[in-house]
Amino acid sequence: MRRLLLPALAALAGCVPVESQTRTERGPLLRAYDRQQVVEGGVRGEVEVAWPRATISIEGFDTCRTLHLEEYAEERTTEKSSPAAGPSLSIGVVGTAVGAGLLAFSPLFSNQPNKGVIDGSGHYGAPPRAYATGWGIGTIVVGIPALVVGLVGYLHSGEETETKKVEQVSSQDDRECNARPMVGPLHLVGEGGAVAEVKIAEGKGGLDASQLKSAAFDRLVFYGRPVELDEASRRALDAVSACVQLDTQPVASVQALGTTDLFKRVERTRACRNVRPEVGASAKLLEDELARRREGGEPLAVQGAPVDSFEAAMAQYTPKVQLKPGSPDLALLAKSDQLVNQAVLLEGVVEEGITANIGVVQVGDRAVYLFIPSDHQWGGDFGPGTRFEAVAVVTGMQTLEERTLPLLRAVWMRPAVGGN
Amino acid sequence: MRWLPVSLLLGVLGVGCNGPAATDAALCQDFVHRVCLPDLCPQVVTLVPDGGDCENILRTRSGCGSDSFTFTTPDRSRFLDCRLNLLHAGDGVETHPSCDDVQTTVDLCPDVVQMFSGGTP
Repeated sequence: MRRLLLPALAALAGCVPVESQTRTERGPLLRAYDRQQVVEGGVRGEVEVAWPRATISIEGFDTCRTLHLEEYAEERTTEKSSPAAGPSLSIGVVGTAVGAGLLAFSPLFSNQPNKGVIDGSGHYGAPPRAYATGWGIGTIVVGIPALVVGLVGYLHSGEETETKKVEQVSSQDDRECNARPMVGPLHLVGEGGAVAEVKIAEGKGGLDASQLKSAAFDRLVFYGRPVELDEASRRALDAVSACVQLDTQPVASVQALGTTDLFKRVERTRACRNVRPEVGASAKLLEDELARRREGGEPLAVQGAPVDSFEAAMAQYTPKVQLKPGSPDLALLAKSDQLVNQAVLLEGVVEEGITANIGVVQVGDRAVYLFIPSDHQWGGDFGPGTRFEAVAVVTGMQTLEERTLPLLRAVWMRPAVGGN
Repeated sequence: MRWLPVSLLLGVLGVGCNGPAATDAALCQDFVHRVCLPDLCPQVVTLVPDGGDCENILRTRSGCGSDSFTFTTPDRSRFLDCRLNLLHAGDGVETHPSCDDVQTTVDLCPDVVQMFSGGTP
């Protein structure tokens, strides 16, 4: 019987519904302190060119991080309550007490059968003692489990408060540290992948650019990680790439070049000139040829074909009209129907956007609508107040929101030099 | 699990509700006492001529006026079955059975009627 009692009580304890509610309150600031961490950094490099020799230095570094931490006291209070504990306890106490009393005092009841009743089976009614014993056992059977449930619920009820310290990062400072020369293969990478490999020892490696016979490259990669370059090194790398392409793609005559190829070659020559001043002569030839084609009115390319830069747009559309503050050509806007389909060089300030593709541009004391094709290739943000320059084509007059202005379709836009 | 305490309670109470078995004489006297409670049903009046003492007459005829009486024919079991009809109104000894229940007993238990008529069943 005892062996059954404990598991039965344990089972009853498990049935006691106890509701738990936890709330967290932050206490006062205990202290503020810093914690130092060293996390993954990166690789940076420098490129120096003494044509045809390019010297590349790279060093790795870690990021030394200083975390500014604040430590607070946090109180975590858990309230447990059992709504059934009170009623169960009441029933349990009363039931157990009554049952125990009936059993204890049952000898005082008569044990004579109730002869005032003979039931259908021919038996007298039970004696009062039997009734007392039966009710005593019955109320104890109900009372004890209720008492246990009530007690367990009551004991589980209450409030526990746990105080602990928590820390919170308020800010962090990162700086490069632990700079060290790197050792291993460095790759020159272009759009098509790695085009050359340079062995780096003690943080330095050399490259004979004249020996490269491959496609363009624009970045350095060391063990899969891009190497950070400062502006001068980036220009030097671009110059080496441009020089290599010029050397590997010679032309017999600049007159034979198409306009697009001519312009690309002009760009590469300008870039290459940074490390090879001797190409300045050929650069002048190319630019003279470009100027000759512009001045001669020779169509440099078919308008409407895609362009990939401002210079290409200038070369392809050769705008004769300049719409910029102080330009006498601004007066032509009064008769803009005479400018339809003509390319213009536009310099102005973005005033406001009218639709997703049309904005108002202020040029001196004049305003025009500028249409920006949704598939435009140039990047940048041209919000209100931005100074910019653009190659555009006049398409006619347009009325929007009760305002009629000349409408121009942008071919290429870029922020104006010195603009915002 | 929820009904376990209730079942235990009903079981305990059920065991405690029965007293010892009544003697044959007590059963027979209980039967006679019930049917002879006033007012007599017509079926009983026919057994008691001339407005005599119903209980005395029936006890004498059946022989259960003596505490040593025991059932022979009908036996105790048969008698208990027939007596059940008289308990529909209640098993207290002072509960008057309905005359319909008395009629049912007369119809179903001619051997018991015979026993109280003084004849041989």
